[in-house]
Amino acid sequence: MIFNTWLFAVFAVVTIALYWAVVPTGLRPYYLVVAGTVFYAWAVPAYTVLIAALALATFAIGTALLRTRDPGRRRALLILGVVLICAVLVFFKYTRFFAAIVNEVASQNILPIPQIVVPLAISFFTFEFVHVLVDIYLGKIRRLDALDFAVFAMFFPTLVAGPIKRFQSFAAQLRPIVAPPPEEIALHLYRITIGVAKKTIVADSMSLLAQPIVTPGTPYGHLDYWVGTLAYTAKIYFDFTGYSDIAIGTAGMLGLSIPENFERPYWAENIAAFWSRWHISLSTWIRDYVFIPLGGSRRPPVVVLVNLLIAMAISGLWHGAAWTFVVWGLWHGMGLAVHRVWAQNVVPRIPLLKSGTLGIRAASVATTFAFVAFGWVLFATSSLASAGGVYAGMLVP
Amino acid sequence: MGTLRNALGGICVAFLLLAVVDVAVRLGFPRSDRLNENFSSTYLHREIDALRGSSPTVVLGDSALWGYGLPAQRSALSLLRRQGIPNENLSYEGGSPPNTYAMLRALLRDGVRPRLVVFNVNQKEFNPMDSAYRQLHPSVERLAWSALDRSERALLKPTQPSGSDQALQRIVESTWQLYGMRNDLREWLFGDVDAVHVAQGAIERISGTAGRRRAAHRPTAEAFEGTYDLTPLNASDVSFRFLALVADLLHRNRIPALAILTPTNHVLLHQYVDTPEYAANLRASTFLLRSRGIEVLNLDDAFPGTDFIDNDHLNAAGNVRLAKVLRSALQ
Repeated sequence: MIFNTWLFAVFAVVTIALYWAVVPTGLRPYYLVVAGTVFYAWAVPAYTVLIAALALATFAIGTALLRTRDPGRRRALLILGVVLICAVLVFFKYTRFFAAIVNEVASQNILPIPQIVVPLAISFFTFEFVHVLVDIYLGKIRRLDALDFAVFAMFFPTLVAGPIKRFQSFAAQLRPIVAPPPEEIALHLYRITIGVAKKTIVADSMSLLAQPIVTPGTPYGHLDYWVGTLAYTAKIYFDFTGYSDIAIGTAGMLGLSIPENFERPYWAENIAAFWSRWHISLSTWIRDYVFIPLGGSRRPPVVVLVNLLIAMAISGLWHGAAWTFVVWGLWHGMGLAVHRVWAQNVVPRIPLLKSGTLGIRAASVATTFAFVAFGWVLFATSSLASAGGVYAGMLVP
Repeated sequence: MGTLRNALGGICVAFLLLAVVDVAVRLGFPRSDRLNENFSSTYLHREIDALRGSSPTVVLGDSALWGYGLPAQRSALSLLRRQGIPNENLSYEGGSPPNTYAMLRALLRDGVRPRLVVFNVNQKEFNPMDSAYRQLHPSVERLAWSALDRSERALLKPTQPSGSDQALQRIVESTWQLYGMRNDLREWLFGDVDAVHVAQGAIERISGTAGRRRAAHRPTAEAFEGTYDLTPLNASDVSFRFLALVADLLHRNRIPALAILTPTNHVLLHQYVDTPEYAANLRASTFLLRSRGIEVLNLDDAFPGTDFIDNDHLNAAGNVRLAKVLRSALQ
């Protein structure tokens, strides 16, 4: 079920009305599991079994992790769980991509390209499940209740496009679920309305102006590519924040708070700040479960820079199974690496840069925005060749 | 409690305002000379509703009779109306025999019994490659699908997936006029669909894209290669089958009709249409229609090349000439 449809509107209104008016307080978590299952089953019913089975496996491994004291066995259980979850993600999302790479390298069709329908929200729920297992392993989650975990896994507002939740803060709100006061209900309704407007009025309109970079071709000229890039920059922001607003507002109507995902990212003064304001739930996930396990900032400077590239390449690949996404991730990884070197070695030596005057800040915001917007071309186009065509169209009048 | 009361009060006021606007749209939305470029099924339903009980001359054509490339007032049917020959132009871009049939079924179902039906037969629409060959305009599909028999539906390729969301969409659009006519309203207010289209047009003009696009679209004979399928027409052609259904339906209901063989730019398309196969297909269409008692006005090669924008769309002068021809035919 997609958010900006009448079906979702009816589903959400009926679900929320029954939730507060009919369902007894103690049964509300169960009701949320049922609602999430109906929501998920609407797209491809068979995949409900997949998400249920994976949730069950994660719960079983998580429970075993909580009960096991032996470090070796704990490590083995964690590896088993993470590999299992990632294998499901890789199979459904990346098999076609990898098969195509093999065929391209071999210059012949060694592997058949399978027709696989990617399960709804697989990228989101697999990352949430990995988080649960790793946090249990690290001792950050000390109790895993079956009902809490089921609600966490099947919470329908976050099933389409996140935000990627954290179990601890989510589960803490479930016993009992407290009804929001009227003024908060008004705010949640406002948030949902704004979300729908962002998506349907702004983002969908921008799609038209973004055509030159989505489908570059002969009639387009220099200006079209620049306008297209800016329009796509606006479109992706309004599209994604629109979805997040609907998710956060709907969750709020159910009496539950989920993480904020955006904080005026295009006002960021550098690319590191951008990533702390854009798709926050993903960037913190990448930080906690990829960058820090790779050594974080404590390794030698060169290793840290390489780790940044790896973390961002994974982030890129998470967004889609294509080289354009990998290169987009590397583009941002490179930006983060350059910013790190700049912030640590150049800024401290130049008083003007350190001063943080309005002019410097404005220039920083503009540079960061341009860097991000330029990167969106990779995100929007279907191949590196198309992206190259757009860049050429932008830079060569 | 006070806050809750305020919130409920706010919601009630919002609903009341929406209801008032809705009533205003229902009563006051103007009727135009022809269907809007992006007409909705709600708007079409409204147009058909307005014809109920009357016996108008109804025009069911494609872009050629709609007046493609020209303001509504300069299309041939608008000119005719101003010359004292009333007609209801329900033509649209993307028309074809299946579309004519679906519209006719919807009209009859909704109690409109035309005094005369004028429709055009465009040879390019018998080509399976044509977008309207077996597809209805989405708004027509939404309105007329239920009026078609199962066997007729089976011949068509639906443009919209059937599902609960579509069903809900239909319910909302039919009860909430403002929502159902949002595209028409936008077009009425802004003319060129919406502000984004206007911005896009301006950008394309400044960047030279509009010129390049025009140059790429300049009618050359090569651009229309494959537009006209010269395979002999018979019942295996879905669009031709629908032409037969149109003729049968008109005949059965004893509705007088005038079929226009669409003016075609023979100067431009000489190599594709000045052939025995094309002529044979024209004869097949004419024979089919006349055998059901339908008057046929053959305008296929009646206009000089200078009257066309492209292969089958007449310019302003061409529309004036077409109005003149239609005037004498209708009188």
